[in-house]
Amino acid sequence: MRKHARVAVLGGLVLSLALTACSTNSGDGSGEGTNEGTQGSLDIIGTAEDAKGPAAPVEGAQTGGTLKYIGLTDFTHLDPARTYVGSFMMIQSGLLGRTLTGYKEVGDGSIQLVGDLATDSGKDVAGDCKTWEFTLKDGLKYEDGTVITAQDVAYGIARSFSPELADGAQFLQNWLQESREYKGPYDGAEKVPPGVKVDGNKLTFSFDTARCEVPFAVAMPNTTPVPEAKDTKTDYDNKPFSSGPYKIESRTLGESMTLVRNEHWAADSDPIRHAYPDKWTFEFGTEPKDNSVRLDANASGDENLWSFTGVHPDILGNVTGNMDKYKGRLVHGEQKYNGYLAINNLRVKDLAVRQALNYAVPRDRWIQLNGGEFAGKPNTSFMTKSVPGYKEFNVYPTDIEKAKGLLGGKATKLRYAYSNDGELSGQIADMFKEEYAKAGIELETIAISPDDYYGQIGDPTNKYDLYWAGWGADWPSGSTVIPPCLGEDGLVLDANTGTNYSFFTEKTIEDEIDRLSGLPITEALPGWGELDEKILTEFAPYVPLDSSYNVWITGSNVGGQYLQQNLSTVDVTKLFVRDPALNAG
Amino acid sequence: MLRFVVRRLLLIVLTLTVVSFGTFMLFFAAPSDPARILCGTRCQPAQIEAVRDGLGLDRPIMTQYVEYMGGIFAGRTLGEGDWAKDCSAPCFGYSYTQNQEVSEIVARALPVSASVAIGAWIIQTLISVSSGVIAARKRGTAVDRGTIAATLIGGALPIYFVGPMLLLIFRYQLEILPQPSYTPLLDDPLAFAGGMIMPWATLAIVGFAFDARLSRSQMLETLDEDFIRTSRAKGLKDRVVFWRHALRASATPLATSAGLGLGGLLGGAVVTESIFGLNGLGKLSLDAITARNLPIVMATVLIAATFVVFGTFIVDMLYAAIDPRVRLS
Repeated sequence: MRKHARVAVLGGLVLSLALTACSTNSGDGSGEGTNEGTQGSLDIIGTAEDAKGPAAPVEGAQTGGTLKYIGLTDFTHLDPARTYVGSFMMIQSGLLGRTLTGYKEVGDGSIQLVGDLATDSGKDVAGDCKTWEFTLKDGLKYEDGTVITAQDVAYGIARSFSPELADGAQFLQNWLQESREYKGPYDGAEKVPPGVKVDGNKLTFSFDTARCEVPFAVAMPNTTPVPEAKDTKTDYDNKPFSSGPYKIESRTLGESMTLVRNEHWAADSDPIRHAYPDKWTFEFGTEPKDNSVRLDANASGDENLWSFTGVHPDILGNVTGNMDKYKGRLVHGEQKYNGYLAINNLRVKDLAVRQALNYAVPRDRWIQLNGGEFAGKPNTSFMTKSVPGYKEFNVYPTDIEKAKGLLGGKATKLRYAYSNDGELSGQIADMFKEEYAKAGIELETIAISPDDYYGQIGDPTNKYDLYWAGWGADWPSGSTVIPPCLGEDGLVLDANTGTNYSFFTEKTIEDEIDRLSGLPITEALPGWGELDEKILTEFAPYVPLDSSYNVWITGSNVGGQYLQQNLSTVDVTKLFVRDPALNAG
Repeated sequence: MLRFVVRRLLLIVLTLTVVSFGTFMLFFAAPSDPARILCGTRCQPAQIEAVRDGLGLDRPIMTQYVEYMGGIFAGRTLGEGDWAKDCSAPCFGYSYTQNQEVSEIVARALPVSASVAIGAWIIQTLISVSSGVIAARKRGTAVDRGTIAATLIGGALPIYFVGPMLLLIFRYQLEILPQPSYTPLLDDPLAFAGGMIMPWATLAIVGFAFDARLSRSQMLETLDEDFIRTSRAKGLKDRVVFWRHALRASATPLATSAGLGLGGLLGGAVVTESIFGLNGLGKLSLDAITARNLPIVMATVLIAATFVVFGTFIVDMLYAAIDPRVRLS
């Protein structure tokens, strides 16, 4: 259930990571995509040359055939303005829409930010990160053969300002206009958002302050072009107009969807997508466990199946205990998401207590209860390995005696809150209570309604001392990890928007956040890792637990299995059908 | 007769009004904010406001209720300005999580559930009544004992065991049955039956026991009655006594049980639909309750209540047709 809760909070976040040269992420025809804790590369920004298509072929890939998806729920948002969940973004940006920039696999497992619609990953016009220029490639077309224009990209961004459609990332929007007076291009308003200028096939973004991570921010789906004439407002979610390699042929919301080729998509303009299958079908309604059982059975007619749903915990042991049997059908690896115990710094003000909580944390038992090494890997920092600039450190190695010493024999009573979402959460609470008692910390465990869990722990007046939370980087930089979770940026504006669940702020840390935010990306990246270590060492505002791990299984006729670290899920741009004639209907 | 029908119909209207009002109020009595839940955990305040506006949650509850009920009969407009949406009758509101009108969602789910329930009901009733009656006819023989044993086993098995077992054996191991799915009957009758066969079999296996035992005991009881002895004494053939007189006299409680059974199947379909991944009403309402999706919950509760009250009404009418002793008054 922790996974579930984790999905709930991370549903809104997204992107992350890069993979380095030492990655084992094969993504080739041999079919086993793994990524065992590879560290994010600092060499992340691609050049104009890197932005050229077509994408390097996947080894052994075949063109043609039909891939069949099964899952419990439909992709709630496919409108690029509203898409913010990893798997939804994967479908939108991998199959249906293109963005100004995007992430490309370099060939050795590492990724690079490159121009997608744009000719490069952005030009910092004056070298001060305040004005960014993007030029669209020539000959880009929509599903009906009409030309994609810079005006359409601006219109797409303009839509995402509208409160009715603002489910997606809002970084770029908030940077362009902090006051957010502009409410989108509706009810007679401007069609181009504030701070954006369109000149032919060129887009210019102007900001009041230095925004050095604009190239990452425009890789979010809401820079996908939307022609004004095709804008159906909230109904656009049901059938977005395609600028990517596939288009929606038919869709019954909540039940099924079929994608067919967009004949006007040109592979040689696209450095990221492959588009091997002729057709994709999607069926929704299968419970996660039944989903896994069906994929595992691989019965006749089911060989082309795949899913974004990881192998269900009930049968995970069968799979991981017998990996050879599933060779060529697996994707598994460490994801970008962390799990940690937030310490309520407004209540637990004594540094010694927070440090004691760190020394006494039963990290191994936590991982074991959650499903073992195929569900999570121990993590002793806030950032996870795959974020470029990650620094490995362990400032509080498990030591019960040290924890006791820090507490100096004082009776310490703390309130631990957990989401009442199933048996496991209760078992975990009991485990923490039992283990922390060994160090002299008495935990009172309190179950709270799963519906309101994040509302409650995000409320600065909450009466709890310790609770679980999780986070994943929006893009491959510590800037989307540290400031929202351990800085003022994440502090509560109202109970719905706060993400700094520890309610931790420190002047010195805030100054460093400001300094790093003004640096060019590659200079700033290692700084975030350093800052991560400084925060935990000096203030211990939280207790790191793990980084999540997941295992996916596909039918035997599916190839090109690859864990896309950027969205931490199965990469649709590389999947192919091994024998296109099988189950083609 | 007419008086009975009118009185019952009025009662139906009253029942449905109470049910709709009760469901509506329950959601407002709950401590959580429906707009915030619908909007998700990382929703901007402006979006919550938009959802609240769309649902009309900022107006008095009674006004909202009256508007909602009005929409069912006359349709209404949801939202304002560029964002207004026409929702034609029967308008059960708009589902923000599914981004479509509730009536469309329900209209798609209804035939799925009806196909599962009615198909299973027909099979279950045929098997249970015939096996019960035959067991009574062959009382004390191996057929009788076999039937009783089968009902014991069937009655002891839960749906969530039988369903996955059938899937495992007939789909994943032997690979002789197709993956359960819903194809409209008129589109392709063969695919319809193929996709439904496992859900039907599951419900029939689990559900036939009660009615089979009831038919058997009812028949045996009737066969001991005076009028049967009289019929026999009058020299009627055994076949006529059994099939025409005894069976008809036993039919009233069987009709009640089978009628209620149909209602039960519609309810039991929640589990069956989930197991076989069928997007029917049961699964829809379960998901809606979990997500506190008020418009969907309202619609599914109202539809379920309508089925139950009309089902009971029809059973009452059937009584009179089957048993002349019952008067509609």
